Amino acid sequence: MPRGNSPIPLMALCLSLIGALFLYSLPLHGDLAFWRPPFVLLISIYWLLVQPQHVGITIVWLVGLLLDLLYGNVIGQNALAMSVTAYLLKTQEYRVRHLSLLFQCLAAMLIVMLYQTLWVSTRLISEDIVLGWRIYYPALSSALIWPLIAGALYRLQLIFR
Amino acid sequence: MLILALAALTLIALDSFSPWLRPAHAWLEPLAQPFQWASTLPMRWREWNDESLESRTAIIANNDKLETEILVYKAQLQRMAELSAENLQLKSLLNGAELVKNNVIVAELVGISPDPFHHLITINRGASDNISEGLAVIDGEGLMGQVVEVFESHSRVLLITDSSHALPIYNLRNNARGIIEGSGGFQRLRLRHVSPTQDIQVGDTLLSSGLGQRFPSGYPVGTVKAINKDPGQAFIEVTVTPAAKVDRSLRLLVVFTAVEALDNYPQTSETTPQAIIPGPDNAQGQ
Repeated sequence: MPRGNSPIPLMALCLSLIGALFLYSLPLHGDLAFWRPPFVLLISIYWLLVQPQHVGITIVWLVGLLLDLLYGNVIGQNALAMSVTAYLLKTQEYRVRHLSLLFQCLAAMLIVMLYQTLWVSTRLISEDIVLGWRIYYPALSSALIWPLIAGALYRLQLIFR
Repeated sequence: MLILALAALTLIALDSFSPWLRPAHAWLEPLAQPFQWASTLPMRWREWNDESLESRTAIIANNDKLETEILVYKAQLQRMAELSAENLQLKSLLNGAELVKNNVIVAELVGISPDPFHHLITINRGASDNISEGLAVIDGEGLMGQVVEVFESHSRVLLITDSSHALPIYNLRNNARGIIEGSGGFQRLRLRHVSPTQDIQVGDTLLSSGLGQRFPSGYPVGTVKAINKDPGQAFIEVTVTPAAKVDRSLRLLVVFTAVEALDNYPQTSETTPQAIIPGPDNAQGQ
């Protein structure tokens, strides 16, 4: 992954966020909805690793808050899950950044598993959720889609440099 | 980090157990509209496809078919007027309450929740159309769900297939009552606590009974699809297919129940397509 020292790529950040929210909104048929990767988390961790001087845990927390507000969830669920995930990732930042693409995918899978665990546990406070292995399906789909997302965001960054 | 986590936890606690953060939801709702709209894009595209890419002859044939259908329905409606008059008369003979009509208002689906654990949709009618919490939502085939959250110009509807939803029903064939609950899958509902000796068959039609004082009675909820008798279990497992096209309908109707209609009659504008269908009796014993 490239590490930029350029000024904050605001345009690329906003565009990727809007794109992720759009992808997150698209309806999926029936049980396929359980396989939807958490696009917003994936782009957040990309920017967190690539633009550490601009995007920090606070930004990720705010993005999580926005996600909760937009989709009518209990406020703070995504903010908590995403910021804790981002923090744990930040502690391993220097290892993760130098991984090859295959291992990046595996890392994405682990990160999303962690996120799903946190997210579902916070939701269990106030909601009734049928637990099962399906809460980890997004981890698998995220691992598969990670090269695509990383590639697209890299291009986006080049365009708006 | 600790501060952020604590702040998030406080927000979760506040929003879960108190209504203080409601205004924030309502205030940010317009921002979510484009994304909500995006969530219905595939459905809209399919509809556009059906409407615009059909040949002229197919459209004419379809129009003919619809006109015939309307004729048949009109003929049936004529009978309906007579029947409801007769019903009213019989009821007055029995010293019962008068027949109260249920009003409906047409609503359009504008959003689907991306959350796989909950079946929530958004419709384009809100507080400005006199929508209030708890109103039933139906489509052309049967009961879809109920309004759970109302904003100024739109509202959220919890579908009957949501795993946290349940409603009282009765069996059309023998009037046996029961409670039906959502399973979390769009094509499946479950009947709760059915004893092995109860008379229930595959193909039975289940209607809402109105016992919970929430849904109007008499709307089709589903048909029994499968019955599984496990001798080891106290109750039998009954799977029901919902009557409404829960995951496919774009046009919905919000039903103003009789109780609601008495003191808060819907004031719909001239442009609003409005239909009046004879409702079930609103038994309020004298």
